[in-house]
Amino acid sequence: MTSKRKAELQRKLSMAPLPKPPDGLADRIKRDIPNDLGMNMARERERFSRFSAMSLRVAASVIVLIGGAFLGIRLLSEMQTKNQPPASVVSEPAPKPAVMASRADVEKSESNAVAVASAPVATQKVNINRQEKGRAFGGVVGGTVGSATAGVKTEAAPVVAQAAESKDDAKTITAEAPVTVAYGTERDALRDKEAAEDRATTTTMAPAAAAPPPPAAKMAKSAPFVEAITVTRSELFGISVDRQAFERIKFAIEHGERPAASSVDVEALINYFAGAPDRVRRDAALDLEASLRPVHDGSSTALVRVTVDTAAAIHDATLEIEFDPTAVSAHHRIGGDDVDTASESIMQPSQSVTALYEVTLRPNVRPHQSVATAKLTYVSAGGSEQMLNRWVSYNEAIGAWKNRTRRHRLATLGAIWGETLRASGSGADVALKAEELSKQEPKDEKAKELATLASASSRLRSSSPTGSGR
Amino acid sequence: MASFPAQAERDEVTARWGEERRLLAAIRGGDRTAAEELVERTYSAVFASLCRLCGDRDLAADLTQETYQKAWAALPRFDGRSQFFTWLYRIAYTTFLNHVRRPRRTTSIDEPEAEEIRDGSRPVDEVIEENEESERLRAAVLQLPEDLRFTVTAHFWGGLAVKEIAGIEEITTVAIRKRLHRAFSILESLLTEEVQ
Repeated sequence: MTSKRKAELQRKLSMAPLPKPPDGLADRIKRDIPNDLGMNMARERERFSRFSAMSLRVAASVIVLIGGAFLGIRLLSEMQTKNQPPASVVSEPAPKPAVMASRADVEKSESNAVAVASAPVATQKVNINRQEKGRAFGGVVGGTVGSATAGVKTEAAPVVAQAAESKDDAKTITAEAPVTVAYGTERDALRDKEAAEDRATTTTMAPAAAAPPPPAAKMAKSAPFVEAITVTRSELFGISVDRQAFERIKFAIEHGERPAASSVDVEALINYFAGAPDRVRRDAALDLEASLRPVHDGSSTALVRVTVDTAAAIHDATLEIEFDPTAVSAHHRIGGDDVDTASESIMQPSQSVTALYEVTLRPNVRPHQSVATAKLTYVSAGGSEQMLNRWVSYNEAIGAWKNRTRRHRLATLGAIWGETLRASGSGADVALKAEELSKQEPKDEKAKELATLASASSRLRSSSPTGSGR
Repeated sequence: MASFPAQAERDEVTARWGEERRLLAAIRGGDRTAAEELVERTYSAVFASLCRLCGDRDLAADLTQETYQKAWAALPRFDGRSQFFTWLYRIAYTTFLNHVRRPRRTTSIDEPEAEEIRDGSRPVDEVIEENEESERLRAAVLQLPEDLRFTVTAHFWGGLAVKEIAGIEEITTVAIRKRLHRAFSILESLLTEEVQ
């Protein structure tokens, strides 16, 4: 558009006819002037101030409401945080009435005492039996010890009781248990715990104990404080990644108290120590690694680690883990329920989740035979469907723990330490291994942390009562 | 640049800025005479703006009356941050828009006005042609997008300064000038299309 044309348009617009107002228009307008102009103003001012006051009241109410809700939520979460460390301490008073009631039941009838897992009387009985029968029988006792801390009945208890009634039966069950791992006499309880969990998940071992859920799940249902932890814990693929779990344990140990066995979230500890990778090259990464246990006892038990890491958000992720029955006779997820397939609708960037499986390997398996296969399918941020496959061979599974990645070593040590805490064991060997690890890599803060805490918790065992009947 | 006929009215209103405040204070105190004086000072400019917008004297008169009725009701909410006429123009413009958007229930049976043709000093065909041209321009302005239409009419027909329009629209004066530039481009194309 030329400036000349623009000027012409401006002229035309400006030169539009300027009409004169018709006669009488001013009078018509003046007639409309309200008589109570001043009063109108006052009324309007009053109305405005009323409106302002009302608006202020509404705004204040909304602020109070939001503030109240926020404070309420804050207080609730603080109360939960405050309540959780004491819940992890053994000297928790809450379970006592249950224990006492159980004791009363035990006193009423000997047969009832057999059925009550939490009764200290029963525990003592079994402990005596364990001393009598040595390590082999200790595997059966673990179920009782683990349950006794929560002070509730468990389905596994009758099996234990039956074992207590008949030494022969007990020996049979222990002998059949394929996942019986021990690092020393001080770890009897851990072995007991594992055996109890195996009974709950493996039908071939003890049919009577196969149907009921694992003791940990039962305890969560029965004990309110455990339930609270379960509700608030954060999970990925059904695996606990609750960082608070580690903080609670650390808090308790640093304050000279041993965490209550029932409050130890082993999965969360695994995830804490497995941590996050330095970097993830793709949207998501799937890692599968295996080794023998950190302290190899000659048994054919291996630890298989499955880790998923994300660099970007992924959707509709499904994680499948499959163990080859020709290479594996039994397997269970450490600290959690044995689930082969788990899904997650969304995973945020920079998230990591690790699951650790304990597998019992069959003898005479070819070195390259697959032991475990992991598959991760997901939809990337770009909308494309992706699939990652990993497998681990028998050769790798029987490989030495010390040759594995730092992440694997830390995760497995964390798992064993967690199990030790749950089973009221010592953890001295974990501390030793962690110390070795931290010496190899002096900058590894997590190894140092684990070494310090495991060492501290092993000292606490002997100096403070655990509440587990010992 | 050509001088604007509305400039005189605008200057008059601007010059009476201080006086306007005094009158408004008196009106707030309930002084009816002050309100009448304010009407006297502003109504012809309001009428002229509306007449340019709607192109109908009678309708413009009605809309002017309606504008003032609304103004009296809304006067307590006038915060005095802009000139009274600027505020009044915004009411007048909204009143016009409401009228345009209002569904028509009546049809005028009056003959088209020929008042301007009565000017004996100019040839009749010249006056008719000028009227037709101004009507085409008005129609083109009314076809502009809302923001451009308000800017053009407020500036050229309402006599408001760019700064005042920027104040009403709560944008910068540069943005107002850009609007005017865009409006000219559209107007030119509309008028060219009509001629073709």
